Amino acid sequence: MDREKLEQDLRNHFSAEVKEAEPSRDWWHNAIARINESKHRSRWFGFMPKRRLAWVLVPVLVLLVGGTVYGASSLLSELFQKHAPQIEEAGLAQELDLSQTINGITVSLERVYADSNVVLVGFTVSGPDARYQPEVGELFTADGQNLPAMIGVGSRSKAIMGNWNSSELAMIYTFDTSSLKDVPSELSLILEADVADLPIIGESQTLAGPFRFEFDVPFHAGKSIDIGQTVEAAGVPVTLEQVVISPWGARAVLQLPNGDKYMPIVSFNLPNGDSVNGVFSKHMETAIVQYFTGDFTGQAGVWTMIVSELVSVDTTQQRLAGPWVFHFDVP
Amino acid sequence: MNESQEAALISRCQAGDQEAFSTLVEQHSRVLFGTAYLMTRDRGLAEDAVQGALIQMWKKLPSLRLHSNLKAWLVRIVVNEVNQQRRKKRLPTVPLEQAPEITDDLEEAETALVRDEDHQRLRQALEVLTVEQREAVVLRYFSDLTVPEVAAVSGEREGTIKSRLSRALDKLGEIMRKDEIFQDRR
Repeated sequence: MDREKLEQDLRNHFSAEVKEAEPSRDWWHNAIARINESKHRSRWFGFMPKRRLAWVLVPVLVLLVGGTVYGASSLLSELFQKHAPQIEEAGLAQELDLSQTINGITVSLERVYADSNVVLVGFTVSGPDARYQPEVGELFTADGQNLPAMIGVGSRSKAIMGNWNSSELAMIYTFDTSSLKDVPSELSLILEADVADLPIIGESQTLAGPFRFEFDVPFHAGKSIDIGQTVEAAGVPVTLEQVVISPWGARAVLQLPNGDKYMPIVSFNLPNGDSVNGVFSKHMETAIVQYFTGDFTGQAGVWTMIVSELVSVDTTQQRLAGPWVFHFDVP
Repeated sequence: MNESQEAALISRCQAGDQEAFSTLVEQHSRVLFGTAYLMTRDRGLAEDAVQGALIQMWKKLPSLRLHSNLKAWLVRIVVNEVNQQRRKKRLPTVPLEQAPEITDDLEEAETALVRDEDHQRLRQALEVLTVEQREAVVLRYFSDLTVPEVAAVSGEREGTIKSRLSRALDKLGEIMRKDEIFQDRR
């Protein structure tokens, strides 16, 4: 049989075989939903705030040893350098020496930072076993206001993809400060979190917690610019409500009809000529908040924000091509 | 989706954006499921493997370099998951020496459309391949990876993959030729 014909027959055959067996869209919806559940359980990279009720149900394995002093680990420094270099290089993070050990697992809170967009909380987890993961903590202000969790990023010592046999885990949690009304010079915060094991597949089990830390952190106020411009493209009006610029980065608040069904592809053109892409977005009740990382606080002048595309978040993959272009002045 | 849009999506995933992850996965859903299905030949096992792979993808995305070959990276995770499940669950793999003989009984095929008959013959012929040969053939001709990409996904040298593909195609060609001769004689 001719080799080329055989290769083409194989392509056709495989394609037909898969077509007969392909799962439905519902299956993919459910599979991705389970990822979200797993992600929320695993608390590894993106997450949602955990419910406090769950903590009540956790058997408390208590051996509290407070006050053990650790220097900020090199792993955590590397993580800050990688994920928040603008903060690390400017020396804006506050170093802390707070640690607790519960059930043989030690959580050390070592580095924190706060501004008008985020609070970054950096800590390490270590213990006799290797497969630990911190569950999402909850962060409260001293007056009890809960700051929603946004992102978690982590790294292990000897961090090689797929190698979990490492002794130390470093994490940075990012919490949203957009709900803070009064801008203080210093924030008093309380972090509570559990530590769980890290299964390859399946549900994790809480091993120890809650770990609780109270600490103060300088608050770096940024610039908040109310804009309120509406631009229409592809028959869709998009309104840029506000941009908040801080040393950590910037957030742009967008309003659009059925905004919860779309993910915007957004970029900024800065006064110095640089272009930066949005790194993640989240849906609020009536708005999409798009985040950019980098210190843009020195960028006074005319900014341009370009929403090049709106991509539907369902399986239809519908795309609305823009661009929606906004110009605004930053003092 | 162009490269910059994909890079933007990956950045968002790395920052924890679950919607971006959904979009990224759905772009590659057919190749992800199809690779698992063609390797396992079992829809349920393929779904399990893809589910496990999705979890692994999410966990490993932060380590992905922006300019990596995303499809090959995703396929590698699926292949690893299938192989891991194969080790755990002992998926029904057939050693070459125990592979079924290609049957001479074409009564069923006689009533089928020619297209279906061809598929049936090819399906039977593929049963003769070793697990490694089948994996290489699936990655090359379904997942549409290049030989270097197949080598990277399988953890083998390019020369090994070239040789493996060549032997697999020789074997399939020989079987299909025999079958054609048999059909002609009927």
